Parts: sequence; C-alpha cells; structure tokens
Amino acid sequence: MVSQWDEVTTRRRKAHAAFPDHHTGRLALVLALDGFAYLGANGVVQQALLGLPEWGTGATIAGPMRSPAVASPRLWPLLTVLSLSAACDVYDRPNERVPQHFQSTMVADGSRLDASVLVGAPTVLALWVPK
Amino acid sequence: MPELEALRSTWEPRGVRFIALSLEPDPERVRRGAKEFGVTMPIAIADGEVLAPLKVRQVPSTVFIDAQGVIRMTASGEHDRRFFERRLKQLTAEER
Repeated sequence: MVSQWDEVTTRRRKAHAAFPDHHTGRLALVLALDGFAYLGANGVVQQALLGLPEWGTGATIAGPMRSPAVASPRLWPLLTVLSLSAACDVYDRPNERVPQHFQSTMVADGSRLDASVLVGAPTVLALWVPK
Repeated sequence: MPELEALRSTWEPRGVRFIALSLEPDPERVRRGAKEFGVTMPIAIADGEVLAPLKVRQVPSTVFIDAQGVIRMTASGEHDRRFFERRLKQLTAEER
C-alpha cells in the first residue's frame, strides 16, 4: 500500500521544488536546499524539517502523516533565514597583520616561515593535523 | 586540502603560494601523513601556538594572507573548490 509519505517523497524526488500534490491535497515546499515543509490544504504548516534527510526516509514511514515535529508558522522566518544562510559563504575577515610571534619551520629544508617570509606574495596557509 | 591541491596549478602561476601548515610537530609523522593524504604542496610545521596568531579557532582551517602579510580571510573547516576559488579571486583582486 502506498502511503501519503510515499507519494510525497516520490514527488519530491521528481520536483525538487514547490509543487501541488493533487492526490493528498497537500503542498510540499522545498526550502533552498536546507529543509522542507509540508503544508495542509488550508496553508497551515503540517510538518517542517531542517536539513534534507536521506532519500527514502519518508518512504519508510507508513500510514498517515504524523503529528508535526515543528509546526508553528511563526518558525517560517527562522527557517527562511537558516535556509538562506546555508547558501552563503561563511568566513572571517580579520584584516590584521601576521604577528611577529608566529613561527614555523619548512619541512623540506628547515628554513623559517614567519611573518617576514609571508610578505611579498599572497599566501594560502592550510592548517591541518596528519592522522 | 585536496581542493586546494587541485587549485595550485591554476593559482601558483599567478603568484599565489600554498603552504600546508601542520600542527603535528614530528616531521616523520607529517611526511607520512602528507603521503597518505596526498599533500604535495610545501609543508611547514608550527612552532608553538599558531591558531590564535592566525586568527583561527579550529583545524582544519584555511588562512588567506595578502602580499603585505595581512590576514585577509580565514575559513574554518572543509570547503569545496568553488568556495576556495572565490576566496582566491577576492584575495588577488584586493592586491590590485
């Protein structure tokens, strides 16, 4: 038996966007890669989820749509902000000179890498720890 | 790191240096780790505290320094190639 969840999930796979579900009278709205919400026919949020679950997660839930996990329309602005923020680059802009006490040693030849060496050409430092 | 390695061939000819800065102090472990991880860019080993001086809080992180030695941008965690390309364009544009 195909549940409402199966139908909604299958349609979501195909559409990846807002679309009407004529069989269930519900609307599944995909929120910019970061979440989705199911709306009832009256426009009230039935269920909203943050983060896209694995494909098929919905299909494993049989039977009618469950009670809402996050159901308040008041959360829509928050969901929208979270969705938009996920699409933005996040980084800091210190705009400060590399301090004199920064010290490191090149593995290849044992030469010093300090603030004075970092002047003269743009440099990308990738900080890591070998496993 | 693999994403930055892939960008080296494009950006090093434009004058950008790439350095992998290891927080592991043992050179032998660093060499071994670099081989396993596919790191081919020049490697440096941090002497003492480097996170605070470089204005980052976690590892892995990437620090973009301009030709005047000013830390222009820092990014924590892993990022995709397009993210790094945007930062590199930004870094080199600010040089002009």
